[in-house]
Amino acid sequence: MMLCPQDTVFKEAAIDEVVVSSSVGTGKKAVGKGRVASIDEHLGQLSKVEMVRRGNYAWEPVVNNMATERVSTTIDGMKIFYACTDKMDPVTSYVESSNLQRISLNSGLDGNPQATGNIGGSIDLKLRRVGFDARPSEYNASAGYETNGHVQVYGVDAAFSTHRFYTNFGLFYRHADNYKAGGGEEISFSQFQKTNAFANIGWQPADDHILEATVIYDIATDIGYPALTMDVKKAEGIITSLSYLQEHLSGLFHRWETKAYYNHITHNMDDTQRPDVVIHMDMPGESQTAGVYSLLQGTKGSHYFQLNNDAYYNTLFADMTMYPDGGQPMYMLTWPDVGTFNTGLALIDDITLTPHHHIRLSAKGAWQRQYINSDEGFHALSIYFPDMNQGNSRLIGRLAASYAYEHSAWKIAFGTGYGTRAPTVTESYGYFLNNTFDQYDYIGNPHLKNEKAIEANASLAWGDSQLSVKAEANAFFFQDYIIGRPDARLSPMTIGAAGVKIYQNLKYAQIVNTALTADYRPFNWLEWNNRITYSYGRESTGARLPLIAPLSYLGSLRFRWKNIEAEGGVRMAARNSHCGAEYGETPTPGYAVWHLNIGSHFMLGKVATDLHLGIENLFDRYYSTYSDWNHIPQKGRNIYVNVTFQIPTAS
Amino acid sequence: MKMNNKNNILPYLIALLLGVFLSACSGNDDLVPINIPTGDDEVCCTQDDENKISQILAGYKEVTGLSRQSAGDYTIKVYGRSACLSVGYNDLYFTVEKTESGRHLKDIAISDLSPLMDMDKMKHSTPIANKFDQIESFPIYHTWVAPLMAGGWMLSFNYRIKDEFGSLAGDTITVVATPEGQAWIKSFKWNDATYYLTLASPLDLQTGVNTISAYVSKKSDDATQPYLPASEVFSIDIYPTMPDMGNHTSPNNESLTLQAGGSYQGKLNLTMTGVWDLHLHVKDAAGNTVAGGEELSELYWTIAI
Repeated sequence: MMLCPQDTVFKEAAIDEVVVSSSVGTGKKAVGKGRVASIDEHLGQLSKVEMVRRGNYAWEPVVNNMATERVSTTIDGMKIFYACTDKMDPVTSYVESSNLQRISLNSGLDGNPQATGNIGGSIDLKLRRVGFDARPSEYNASAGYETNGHVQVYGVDAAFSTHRFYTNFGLFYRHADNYKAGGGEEISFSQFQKTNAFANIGWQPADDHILEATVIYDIATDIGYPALTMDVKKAEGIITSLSYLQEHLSGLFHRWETKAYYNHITHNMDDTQRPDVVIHMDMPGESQTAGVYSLLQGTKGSHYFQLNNDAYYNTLFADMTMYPDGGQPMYMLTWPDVGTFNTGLALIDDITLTPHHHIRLSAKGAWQRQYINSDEGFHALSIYFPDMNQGNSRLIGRLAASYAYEHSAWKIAFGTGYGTRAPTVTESYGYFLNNTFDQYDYIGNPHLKNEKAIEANASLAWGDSQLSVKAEANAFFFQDYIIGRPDARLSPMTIGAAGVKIYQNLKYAQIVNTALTADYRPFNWLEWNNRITYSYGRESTGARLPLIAPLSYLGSLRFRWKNIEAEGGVRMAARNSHCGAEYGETPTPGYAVWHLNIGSHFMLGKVATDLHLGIENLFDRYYSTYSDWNHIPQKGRNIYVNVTFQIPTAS
Repeated sequence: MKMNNKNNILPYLIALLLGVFLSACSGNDDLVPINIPTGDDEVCCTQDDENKISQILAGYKEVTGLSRQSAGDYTIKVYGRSACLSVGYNDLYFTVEKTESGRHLKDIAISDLSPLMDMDKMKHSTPIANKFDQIESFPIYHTWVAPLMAGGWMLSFNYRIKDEFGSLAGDTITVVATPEGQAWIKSFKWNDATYYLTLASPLDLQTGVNTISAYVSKKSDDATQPYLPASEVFSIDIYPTMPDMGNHTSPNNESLTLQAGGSYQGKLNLTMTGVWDLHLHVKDAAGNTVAGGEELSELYWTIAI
């Protein structure tokens, strides 16, 4: 079988990847806890990714210190949008680790072909399909337990494969009680449970003509968010896709994939569990997306290029009904049923000039039209913006170029890009969305201009068999940076709120990220990894941006011997005294947290077994990080064990 | 002579036959109106107009106790938003029908609406529009009345139907209270006179930017006479708040100012459904405070949307 170029995607500084469904001993980048770790734990392994935690579930990935507004997240190229106005459900929370093969990250403006509106980066969650000509049958079962919060995970899946047909499907269940912070304090409202079912089918009626279909159903209930004033009764998502691939085509393009997809998310908040609720409210949200993309990949000479055409239509609806004691209910739309149609064209060319020189060019242009489908929601917003239109159209796009040069032990790379993004539905049309970070009610601004950014990045690496060192930096210069600013004339809706902020375009903003990595391998069974990062963010009024990581250090010692991997390490951060005080951020003290884990792959008779054992927060330290919303503490000491069985074994 | 008689009949016979023949071929065999006594077409509305009138009136209900019959062949019908009047602003629509056919008369006029509440020890009237406006070109006449209290009221009025004049006193009708917690009519004293602030069409208000109408009426020297729109010119600032929401308010409201037709109009912005207190600050033409005050004044209407 000819080696298709998409299997050998050229990796440079921009692309990082973590393998989700890995086994111990394969040497790929993976999380120490093993494949049953949560999606969020897997994402946290990517460099340049931090997680904003509002509870023990559904953490929000932040790339290059930029959150969901500036990051594109797709599932196998499919666009999907979260349904909660308070960001309790980043789209990564609607899949499980058992659905995924790997998670791939593109940093900055140079996104994957289907990414739209990415400035910080683009994440693509790649689904796990068994494929054709794999083992005829395979059965997996996993179970795991963690002491902190009595976390239990159970998963089963099966795969069948022939030359013409494959299917793999599975079921996964995850349950957690309230967790304890360091020192034993139980964090109320931090429980959750989640059930996930998935199925993939592939059919190849003729060689290299492939039809594939996927269904994922994910339902999480009774989810607590200790950082917020409400929890979630239910978050339910269904993700479906149907695609047609042609492989090994002759001519300019050798692979052509067309996929049609649909996903539907419903999300219901719940305040009935909280003791001190002033006014009870119902806050449901709904997101539906239907889309299609068509991707052509080809090689010619030293070029590997991709051409992608995509279109999607998404609707976002959220409302709030408040029930005051003895009074009439009050109703408003917080997302006024906004329909967004977006279509774009992307071009990527990876050029290997010589084995030493590599250039990558990428460009995407998209046209977007939005319309407020709810007249009531439109009338409400018109109070604040009397001359606003019920719809808007705009053009967005991005251009990126990068160059890498490798010679013996050295590698140097640098890149640049320019891109624009459209404001999100919250930023354009959100209505009285309370932000517990700064205690303000936020109102969208229909007159917002696209946000623009220029990116510059560079890295220098040196390595031999024992030592590798890398220094990297990127900088983003924004124009018309979108962020909320207070409007003292306006009256808040939430009782006790500090005021009202309206999203504005700020003249300028900058975010700079730097990292220094050093890996030392004195023996082939021992590796010492070090990584120091420092970031900085400021906008044109001179204020520091919120949610920018402080000086941090990650260090670990890894042992590898036959089929055993063990690791001990520390994660340290300095106090973030230069926090975004203007935006309600308060400093978080510095901390150092240690962990140990060991994993092994062995045979139990005919069953291939992966066993993981580990201790997180070894010294039971009470701490929180800069990205823990409202300083909710992280877990105290946690001891975990999990095992995955597989039959038959890989031959 | 016998011969001449025969000759004289023939032309008449031919004319008769022709008439029958022509009328049989002519015109329109469609809607043959039934039960139309001769003469109705002159004074009543055309079928087209009747259809449009029906459409307009379909949105309203006859006010119980007000629909009545005049001397002669006509019925005066009075419509409103609901079958019962309530305290505060009520739209009234007057039409006259020919009792037998139900068709509406074109040449009518209604005037001098005079509401009276008889409370044994005291009798008093209430604010009225003091005019009747025709709805489009149809013989439907609109006015408003704002009863101050719930209870029994008499609404008398004068009418003209073609050349006939008359007046009707009618039965006592029951006015019901405003829905619980709401208040659509308020009063204030100024220069030894009592004025009434009537909020028009409170049930039409909804989320968003509303054009709000109101009337300022002055209590008559003789309290049994209807209270007419005040001749003085005021301006009324409006500050809407939600009492259930910590007095959350909306921006960009515009003061009520006097319009050519006698009503006061402004812009009221309601950010969400629920109960709203519309705080009022009444000022005279020079801008001096007459009643109420800045922001959370004690003088306010209460509505629920």
